[in-house]
Amino acid sequence: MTLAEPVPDAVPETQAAPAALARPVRPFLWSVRRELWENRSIYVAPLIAAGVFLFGCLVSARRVGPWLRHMESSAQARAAAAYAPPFFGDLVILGTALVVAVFYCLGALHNERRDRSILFWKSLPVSDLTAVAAKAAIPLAVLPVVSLVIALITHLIVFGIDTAVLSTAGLTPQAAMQLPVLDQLGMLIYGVFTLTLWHAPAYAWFLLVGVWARRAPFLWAFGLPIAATIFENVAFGTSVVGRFFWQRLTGGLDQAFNTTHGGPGTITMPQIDLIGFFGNPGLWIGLVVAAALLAGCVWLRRYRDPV
Amino acid sequence: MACIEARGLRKKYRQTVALDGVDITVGEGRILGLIGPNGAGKSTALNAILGLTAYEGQLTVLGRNPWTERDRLMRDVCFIADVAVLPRWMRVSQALDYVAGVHPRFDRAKAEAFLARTDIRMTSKVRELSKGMVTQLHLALVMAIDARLLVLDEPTLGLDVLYRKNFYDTLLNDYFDHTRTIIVTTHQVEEVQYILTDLMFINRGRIVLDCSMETFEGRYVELLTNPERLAEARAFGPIHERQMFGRTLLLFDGVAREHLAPLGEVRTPSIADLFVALIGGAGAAGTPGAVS
Repeated sequence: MTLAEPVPDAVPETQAAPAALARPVRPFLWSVRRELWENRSIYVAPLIAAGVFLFGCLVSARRVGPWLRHMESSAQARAAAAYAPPFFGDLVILGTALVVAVFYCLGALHNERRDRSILFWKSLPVSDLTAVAAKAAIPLAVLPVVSLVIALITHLIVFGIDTAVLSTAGLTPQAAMQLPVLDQLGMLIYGVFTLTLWHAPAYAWFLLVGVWARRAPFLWAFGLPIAATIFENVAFGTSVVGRFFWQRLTGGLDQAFNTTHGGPGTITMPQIDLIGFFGNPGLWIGLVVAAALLAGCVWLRRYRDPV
Repeated sequence: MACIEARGLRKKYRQTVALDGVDITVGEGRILGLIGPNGAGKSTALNAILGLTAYEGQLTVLGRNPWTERDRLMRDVCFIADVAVLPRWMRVSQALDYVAGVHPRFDRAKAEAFLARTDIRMTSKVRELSKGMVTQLHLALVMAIDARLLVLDEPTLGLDVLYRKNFYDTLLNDYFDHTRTIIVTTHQVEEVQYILTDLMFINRGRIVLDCSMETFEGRYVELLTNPERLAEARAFGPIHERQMFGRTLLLFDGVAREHLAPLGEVRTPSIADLFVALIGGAGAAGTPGAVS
């Protein structure tokens, strides 16, 4: 009985809520959607990258087919035709997504001020926190998922091409079925996830520069780290700062995978270095920095006078 | 309850004081014209009311602090900042989708009905629309929101006379219902004179005039007189004088019409005339005959 008592109290409140709000709204969801309307490159660019890669695969399949027929070892053929290209394809798609993310971040909070449309966005009941969160969600959630899905579909298509090539080469399609598809899938998800976490502070920095700089956010975003690197190098003869930035931009895969052993050009499942990645204080410091930079974005978007 | 209540509202930019301790009270159901020269502080005052800029002093809009509660306040407040702020890449249908997705009081059917009366197509992008059509689109969005306060900052800037007329007609006929409050700033003063219920002049960050239109009409009188009666007319202490085809137009503050009627043609001045009298010229306010 005592447990049931609070329920009648709660009922009028839940009934009153829809009366106060005429319609249910989802500011965050729609803010993300509007980013996709404005920046179609978020999905178009990775699709084009995948298309170029697949077209290359098709052309090479015509070339590789006859060549495979003369190959002695089907194992070699599998490695050459089936395994390495999807990995390269992943790099192409994820690399494209990375470039898109950088340019997106630089413009996301900058362009709305430049074209004064911020006055329209701010005339709607969407808080600065929601707006910045939606914009941060693009490089941190939307682009990784989009590029992951595109990469997976690319894998499937490459797999189909490979099977076709192998069977026309007289090799059994079963050989293709033995390909480590699940391994590839797992590694791809892990790779995208860790790279995104590793790059989070960089994205937050680009967003912050976008809202802070009155013009040329690209120059500020890259110019300041480069200036700091040059200054340190000239003044102290060291390159700690430079290496720090470089590692943050390019070192994601090295952090996530144990690259000291394993073949060049490919990464395999046993190289996944979960403890090394999540045990790295650099990752957590980076995430804290990212959160602080994003808080700065919210603050600046609010305090900067319109236009 | 007052819709807007400001006490000692102050805003300072680096060197300039944009608002110098302003008191504003706007009751519900009023249509206030905020008139002032460029850089007078109009937009700053509106930005403060809309929660777009930080300020000193006390300010309550619909019972809320606009600076700390902007997103909540925007459920009850709409504003059209100027014609060029709708994102140019957006499609008309996307604008409707988005506002419907984030605004609890947006009536999509109403906006669509309004747009159906215009030449705007759902598939058009904002950048493909003319300036007048962008304003119509913005007005369609705003009028479909059941808001309590509508702020218009130079809403008809750069529009031709047909669109301007249409804009205010639509606003009055389809939107204003005597419970909503409207604040409008504009340089086209003559076009809003007959829709306003209240008038406020602002200059150099200070309120120069704050009165209802009834007070305005009762208090200010304009007299067009011949040179031979000019001296008699001047005895009543005009606040402004100007020549017109060899006759003189004098503006009086608080002089009864029956005293002036024998001296020439008596009429209610336009807001523009009063604006020139009070603000035009260096400190002309309250100094009779300073401008000739």
